[in-house]
Amino acid sequence: MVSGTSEKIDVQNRVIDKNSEVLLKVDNIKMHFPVRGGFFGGVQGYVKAVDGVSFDLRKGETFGLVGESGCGKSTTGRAILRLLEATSGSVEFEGRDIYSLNDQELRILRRDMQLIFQDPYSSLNPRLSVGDTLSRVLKIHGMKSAAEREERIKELLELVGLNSFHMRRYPHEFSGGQRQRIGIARALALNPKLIVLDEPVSALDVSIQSQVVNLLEELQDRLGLTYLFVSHGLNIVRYISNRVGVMYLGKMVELANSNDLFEDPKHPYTQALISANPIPNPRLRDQPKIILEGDVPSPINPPSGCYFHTRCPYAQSKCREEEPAFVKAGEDRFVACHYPLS
Amino acid sequence: MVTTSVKTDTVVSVKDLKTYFYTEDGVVPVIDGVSFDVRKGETLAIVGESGSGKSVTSLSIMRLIPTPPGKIVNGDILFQNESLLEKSDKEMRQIRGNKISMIFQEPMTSLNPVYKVGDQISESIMLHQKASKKEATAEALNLLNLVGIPEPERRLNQYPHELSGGMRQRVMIAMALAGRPDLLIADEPTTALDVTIQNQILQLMKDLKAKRDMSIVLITHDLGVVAEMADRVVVMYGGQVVEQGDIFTIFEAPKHPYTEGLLRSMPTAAKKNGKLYAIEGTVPNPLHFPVGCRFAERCEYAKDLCRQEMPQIQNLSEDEVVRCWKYTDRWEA
Amino acid sequence: MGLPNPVVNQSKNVNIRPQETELRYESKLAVTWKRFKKNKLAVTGLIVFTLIVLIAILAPWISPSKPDVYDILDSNLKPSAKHPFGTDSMGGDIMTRVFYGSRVSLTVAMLTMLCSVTIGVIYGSISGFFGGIIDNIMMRIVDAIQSIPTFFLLLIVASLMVPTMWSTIFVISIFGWTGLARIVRGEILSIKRRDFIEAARATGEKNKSIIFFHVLPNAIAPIVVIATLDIASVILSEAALSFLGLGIQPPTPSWGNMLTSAQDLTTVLDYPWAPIFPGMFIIVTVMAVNFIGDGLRDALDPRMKQ
Repeated sequence: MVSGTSEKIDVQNRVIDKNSEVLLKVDNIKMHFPVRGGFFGGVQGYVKAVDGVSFDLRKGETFGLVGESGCGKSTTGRAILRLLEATSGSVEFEGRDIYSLNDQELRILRRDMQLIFQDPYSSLNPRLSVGDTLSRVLKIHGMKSAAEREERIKELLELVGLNSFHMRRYPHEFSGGQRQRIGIARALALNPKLIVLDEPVSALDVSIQSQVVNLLEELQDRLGLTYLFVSHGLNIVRYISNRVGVMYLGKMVELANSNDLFEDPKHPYTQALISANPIPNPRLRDQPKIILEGDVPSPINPPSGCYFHTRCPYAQSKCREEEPAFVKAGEDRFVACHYPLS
Repeated sequence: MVTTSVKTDTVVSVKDLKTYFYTEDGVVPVIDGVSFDVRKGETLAIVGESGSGKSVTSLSIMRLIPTPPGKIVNGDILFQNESLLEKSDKEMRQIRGNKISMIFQEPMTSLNPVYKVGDQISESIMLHQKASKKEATAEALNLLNLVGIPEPERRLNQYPHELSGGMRQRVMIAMALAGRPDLLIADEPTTALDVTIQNQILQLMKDLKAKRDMSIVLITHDLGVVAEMADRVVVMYGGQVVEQGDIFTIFEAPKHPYTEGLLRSMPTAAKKNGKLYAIEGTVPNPLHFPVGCRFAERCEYAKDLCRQEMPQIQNLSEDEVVRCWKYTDRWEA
Repeated sequence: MGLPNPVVNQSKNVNIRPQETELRYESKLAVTWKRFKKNKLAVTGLIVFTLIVLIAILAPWISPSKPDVYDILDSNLKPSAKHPFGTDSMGGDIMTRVFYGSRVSLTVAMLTMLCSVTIGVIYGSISGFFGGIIDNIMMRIVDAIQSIPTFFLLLIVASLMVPTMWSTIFVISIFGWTGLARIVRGEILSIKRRDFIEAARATGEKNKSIIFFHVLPNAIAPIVVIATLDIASVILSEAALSFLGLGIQPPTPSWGNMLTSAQDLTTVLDYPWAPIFPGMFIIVTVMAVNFIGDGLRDALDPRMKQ
């Protein structure tokens, strides 16, 4: 990170002062999708994609959201932008409940909250030139003068490391990494405060990933952005995040500062996840690993008690019966486990 | 304990292989002079980014290049000292599945959705061995046990869509093992899987390799998986091998600037401060490869020499091969 | 399929291609045209169709006679220098009537195609974009229309109206849009799932703009293909309706009603030129349009070919 950032951010340890202002507060959101079936398409059950998740995002921080596919991390990201309507719970952005806004108010709020996608191929409209894509965004939000828009587009392209002549080109003329930069430029067009990044580097080649990660960090410093970084890649989440939330079957099981979480996980699932993550060091490969048995259970019929008990190496009878609460487990950290690891 | 097996018997030997694709826009040299050996009982990892030619290399070994547009235009592939390129299609079908098997990234697309898992496995057993339907089913059950599928009897009667991703990959592995192959080619076998499931599959592959005394060619872009699995590594870039060596040399003393860059750009905890190292630029377009070294444009050591002339592949030691001007007499000149 | 001879032993230091760091710019249209040109049948179709359109436009200047001039003394003449396609039983010049008939037939085809494409695209877009219950109801209506043999419906409706060119266009269009609506809907359903639609929503685009700027432009390929093939089927429907006397009415010539007046056995056997020339124009036009449609499909959307 480059110096000259907000004083609240400890660059070396990547710790955001916990008294730092809260930008977004997520309170117990649930996202239940009906499962339809049968002849009349009646509701036969619910996929509990997100099942009671609470956390807050502090101004200027990067909050990592990790978990395996189907754990609800992307859905959470969509729900806090109200791109999906949460079934229950509330999301407050700068103190305003975004679920109480009408369409017009929500459209204005969209300037402050943006989204960056995983797949740089499907996230750009193939029929619009880069300039047109960015121009539309500016136009919707009231930049009427074409000359002004062009000026801003040039500025945006340069900001993300592209050239102003790229504005006349179409998405298919760019590589994956360049497309991701265009997606970032689109998200930045309206000067947002919060960006949800949904697996922003997972689809990119290894040698391109670090370019994009550097760009994201640089932009955060220059523009004072807050990131919700959704990813299944533990290495990248650890690298980029100040705090990390771990999700399993629609619930957050652990939340802590990045270093604490990776050095000293409290939840057995976090521990297993970290242990399973291949380390790029062949000398460490014969270290014992925690290999979780079986698969993630179905979110339609989640297990009783603690959702993780079916795979947990430490599970006891209480875990099968009683759902653990998401409680404080040290300074600025939370865990949902009856028997947290010490 | 850390171990690498160094055996000298060669299972597959790829020699100066060139596989070109003839497209509307021109000739694409997807593989452009690739040579390497796979030794008995080892895991050889082929590492590279998209467009590096790593997957086409494996398809070339299997003789599964779609023709047209693709064509092997040069070189040879020796399997147990016999040229695969000279085999008839019928002989190749015998080899595929029996002696060389392959598993792919997305098990759902490689399994037939309309047949039960058990039928698909016993089918592939009967294809390669003289077995009755009953024997084949029994063997299928054995294989499901071998690949660690819980409740194997029940799984025999299930359809692919009823299984999870990890389970399907296990079924694919079971099918690949049906013919008792000497070589298993695994093309990004865990890329579509979650970390905890990936771990299970990698562990399974390790166990099976030891039990069945197979060689494995592991194609991946994930250096974590390579560090976990491989005995030796082939690094590909722009359709060529740029470096080849044993796992420890590659990770601890990489020679080629590209390998070095890949390792340095890993976001591991040790490099938390400051910026993440990044290889600048993008992968060159295979339709317009540069004259000189294909990595020169992105290489921080590149000199005029690198841009003007393609470096040749050379042996630094018995086990180490690199394609870079830095290791030649002409570098200092 | 012939492959270019692979160059195996290239000298390593010879650069056979210019080095470019940026990808070459090629517009979508140019790529499409390049692919289209490779399809010989499609190009032939395009040339033939262009000729027929030219004939229709230039009919007043290139026809040997006038469509409303009859000379009963010159009836049923063989093709000759004066009457290259011969004359019909009323003494009208067949070439003239075929040329003028192409104006009518092609106008009907184009206008009908435009109508059914407009209806189909709007209907399909709404159904696909909003999904859910709206989609369900709208598609069941399409099912209902499609489950009735269209031609009988055409006959019933046509027989209830005073047949004119406009009634013909109306009748064919109100039943001709269902196939397209279905295809547009399917296309929209798949486009809707792509991330750039969500991106548009995240930047605050309204639904209407999302459909116009992001969804429809991406569905243009199948729409163009279907629209083209539609022309062929409309030409056939018009010909059939007119042949049965429910379409274009004589003395206005159309390819269909020219066949009607030449349908009796005596005419077919003794004066075969009377049915052959209009029939040939129908067949050639329909084939040409179908070839163009196939060519467009392959050129616009290589996926559909494989």
